[in-house]
Amino acid sequence: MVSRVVLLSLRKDFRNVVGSPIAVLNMTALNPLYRLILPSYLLATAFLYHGRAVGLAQSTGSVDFQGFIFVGAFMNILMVGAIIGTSAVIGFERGSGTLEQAWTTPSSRVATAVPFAVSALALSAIGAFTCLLLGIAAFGVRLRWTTVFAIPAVLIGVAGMVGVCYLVMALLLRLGQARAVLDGGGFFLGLLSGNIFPVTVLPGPLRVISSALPSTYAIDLLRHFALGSWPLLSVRWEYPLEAVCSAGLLGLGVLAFVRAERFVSTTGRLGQF
Amino acid sequence: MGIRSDLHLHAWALVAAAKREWRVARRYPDVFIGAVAWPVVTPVVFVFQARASIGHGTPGRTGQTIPTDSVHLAVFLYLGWLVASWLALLLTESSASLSGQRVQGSLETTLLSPATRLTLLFGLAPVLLVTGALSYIAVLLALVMGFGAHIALSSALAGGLVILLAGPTLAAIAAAAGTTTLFMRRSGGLVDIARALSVTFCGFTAPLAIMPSWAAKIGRLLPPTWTVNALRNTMFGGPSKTDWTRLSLLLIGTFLAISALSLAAFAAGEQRGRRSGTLGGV
Repeated sequence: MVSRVVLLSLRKDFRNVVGSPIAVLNMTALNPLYRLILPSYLLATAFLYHGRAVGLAQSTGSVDFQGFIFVGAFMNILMVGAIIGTSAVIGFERGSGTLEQAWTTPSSRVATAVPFAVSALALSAIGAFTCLLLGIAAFGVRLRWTTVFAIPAVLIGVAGMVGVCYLVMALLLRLGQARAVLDGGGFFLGLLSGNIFPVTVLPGPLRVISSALPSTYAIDLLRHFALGSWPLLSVRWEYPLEAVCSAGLLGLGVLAFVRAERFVSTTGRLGQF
Repeated sequence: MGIRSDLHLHAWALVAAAKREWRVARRYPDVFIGAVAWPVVTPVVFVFQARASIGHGTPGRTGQTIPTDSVHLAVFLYLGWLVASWLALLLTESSASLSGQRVQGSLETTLLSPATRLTLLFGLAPVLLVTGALSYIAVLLALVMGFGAHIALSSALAGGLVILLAGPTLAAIAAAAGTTTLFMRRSGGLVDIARALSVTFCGFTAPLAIMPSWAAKIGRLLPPTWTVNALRNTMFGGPSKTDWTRLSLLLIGTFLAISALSLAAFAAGEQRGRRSGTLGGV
């Protein structure tokens, strides 16, 4: 039942996307390109020594600065896209007055919200892959065949992102609109996960928060398998740790959502914004 | 009516438009909050990236083009991103202001009046100049308090003068981008392309010296590059490091040229819209 609802909802959201493909491409792929990737790419080239990222190699074990940036950006787009996408999907439902109708379906509230999260993640995945392909085609990004070993890390990270989607929904249900908070949240999530730099350069307190985020391990494992950079921990430990953090984030998101849902149900503010 | 009287009326209309935009901005102060927060927060990722890129301080090309000590590096990156985020705000808000009026239907009403079209192109400029000043102050405070930078008062004031001189020129660029609203249903994509080009060519996060010569040549022709370079020269070498006469003439000349072009483009767009009946179309 839930899977059918998810599929139908995905179909509906993709129909909306087809109606404004440039806007979606801009939001998911072009925005990160000129806000994050291009400036960091240029900055990295300023530190090249005889065309090699010697300093980066001393910090991470890899001289592949292009790959380092694009692989981090790939996960960053997934993270920020999940946040902005969830906000956009909820905003669209609210604006068109269909959010309350979705709430009246007989499935549980947590299951009702699954399609919103899946749509947001699917849209951001389009942007992430577009950017990665652009990196391969135009910026000389070369990924090793061992990248396939990082696929489980990405999937576990995405499961954690579903938790972030639930947190965003909880926030939107409580506050109505939270653009500034969400923009800031997306930025700090990227920063704390080491989107364009290794988290080893973060100061102590930020490093502690960073080590509790599944996205940190997802990016690290992806870089390790795709570029050969040094992992933060032994891979044998990093995978289970990522899974634990992901499960924790998912649980936290669902808990926040359930409480927010109860709040809007008792105050009658579901469709208000 | 005489020319003086006309000028007086145009100036009056421009002041009235600026007052209206100021009132709206005060009602929704998120534009000011964003102008203070983002230029302070965003460059942190570039500072961390630069620290990782330095590694154990490998000598070589880096010393020639970009500072490698942490304080100078932060100043370099923060000043670059200050101009980048200010320009982004100017481009986005100018375009959004015109398309917003179009959606609300007030654009056609305004165009029925004989008031100068400068009100539509530059009505928002004073608000955006204030955001630039706020961003600059916030960045200086962040550099001094967060990174321990020693910035002399004379350098800080001279940097403020650079912001003051560059503001009208950058606002004129944004106004020119805003006129595309009259030619296209959605000008957001064009604004994004302008932002991408400015990030690529203007040396916000990297010096022009590392770019291919053709890209550096393009960069040297762009007013945001002059602004970033003047700010960095002022902070690193003091006010005397900047050729103020040349900078002023370049910025004022560019402001006048772009404003004239924007007005001409706006007039052409208006005429086209009137003929085809698509002026208020969204």
